[in-house]
Amino acid sequence: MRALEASLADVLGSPGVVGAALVDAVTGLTYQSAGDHRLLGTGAELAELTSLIGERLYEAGAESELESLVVTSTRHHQVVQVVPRKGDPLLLATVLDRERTNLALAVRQSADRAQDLLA
Amino acid sequence: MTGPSHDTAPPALPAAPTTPAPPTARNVPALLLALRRTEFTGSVTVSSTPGGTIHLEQGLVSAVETPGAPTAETLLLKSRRVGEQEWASAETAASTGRPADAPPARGGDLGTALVAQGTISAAELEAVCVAAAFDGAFALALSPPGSWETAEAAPPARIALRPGIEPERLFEETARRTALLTRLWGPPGELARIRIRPATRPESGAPRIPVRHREILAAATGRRTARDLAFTLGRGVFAVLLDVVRMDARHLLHREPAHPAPPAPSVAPRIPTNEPPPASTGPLPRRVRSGPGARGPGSPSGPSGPGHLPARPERAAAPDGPPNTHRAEHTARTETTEQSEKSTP
Repeated sequence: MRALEASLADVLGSPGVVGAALVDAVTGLTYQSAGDHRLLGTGAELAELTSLIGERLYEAGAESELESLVVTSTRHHQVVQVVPRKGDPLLLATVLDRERTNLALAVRQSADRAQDLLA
Repeated sequence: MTGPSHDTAPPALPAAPTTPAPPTARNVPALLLALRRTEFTGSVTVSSTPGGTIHLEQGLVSAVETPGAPTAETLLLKSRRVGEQEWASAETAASTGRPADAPPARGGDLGTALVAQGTISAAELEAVCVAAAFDGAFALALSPPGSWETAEAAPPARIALRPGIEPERLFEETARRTALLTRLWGPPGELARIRIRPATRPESGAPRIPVRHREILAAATGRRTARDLAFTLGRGVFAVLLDVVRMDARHLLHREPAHPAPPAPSVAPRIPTNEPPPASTGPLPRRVRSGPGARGPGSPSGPSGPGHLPARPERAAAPDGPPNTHRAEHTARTETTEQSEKSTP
């Protein structure tokens, strides 16, 4: 059983990705991490942040569920993608090198990854 | 978000030395660390309430099974990731379908069978197993510590993580969970015992509640604790507790008192020994079948116990009034018949 490790190694192989983590969206448990994932913070922080934003969006009247969260800094992009599944969702978080990344493409890729991460 | 108190929460797994395990350890975390060093394979059974079994392979935690939290099996079935039929066929495949030269029944191969028959992806299964192990450890830490024993020849878990989890990671995560709930709400052990039901909300115009929380509301009957809800919904206990805390903060829930208000009707024997039942003090309703004027002088006499008790055996010994003896046999010695006996003489 090293399936998650393999999945995340794939993610890390994508252009521009320097770190990745797979986190439980509710409990904040980090299932797996790879590369330079420290920039993402802990799994607990990621889960807390996304659930806070997700809940506020919902309360504010958004009709749909939170899908992804993009944070840009001067050197990196962070993309946190909600991975829906039966049961509690997961979060696929990636750090991308800004120099080497097209943000729009990265978000799109992240969404695709989420689709087949657990398939 | 990283709290300043990073070192304040020690691993909170059960801790109480009663039976010294092979490597003498002070508590379960210490024991697991010692077993990690010796690459122990087997199980550690913790006998607190609810207690549980920690499965180890080469010192790594491959599964935690406890009645206090859903196992991987429960999570898979209750969340409908795996159907009953698929489960059954994986069970037969795991027990019979192995090659002849394979090592005999290693256990934990049920997961392999599930993946092999295409019921679930390996990644999904792994995620569920990891989640179940951490949740089980958390549930063990909720109860007061008990004793433990180690067993080397114990059968492995039916679905085991391979390789398992480093014990240290397990303690850190458990400590984080306990600390988080304590910060958000209060003692997690207390929180876990609360029974919840949806708050009555008369102004329910269009309550914006996420799906996950709505599922909890639908399952919360007022008789279920977070643990019961976790089993019902096929989710982790910690995940449900976190949701409960958040929902409680939004006033979506009503907490039932820890002990439900009306206690179950007493089934204690009415007349325990030779002593008369204490029910004879004044204000009980009397049966006055033998006529409206038959209300004896007994009622105003003794308002409270001590002065009243000695008089009692006399009455019990005088059931000679013809109509009452008859009735007493019929109604099988209830208190009311005794009252009516008393009223006649």
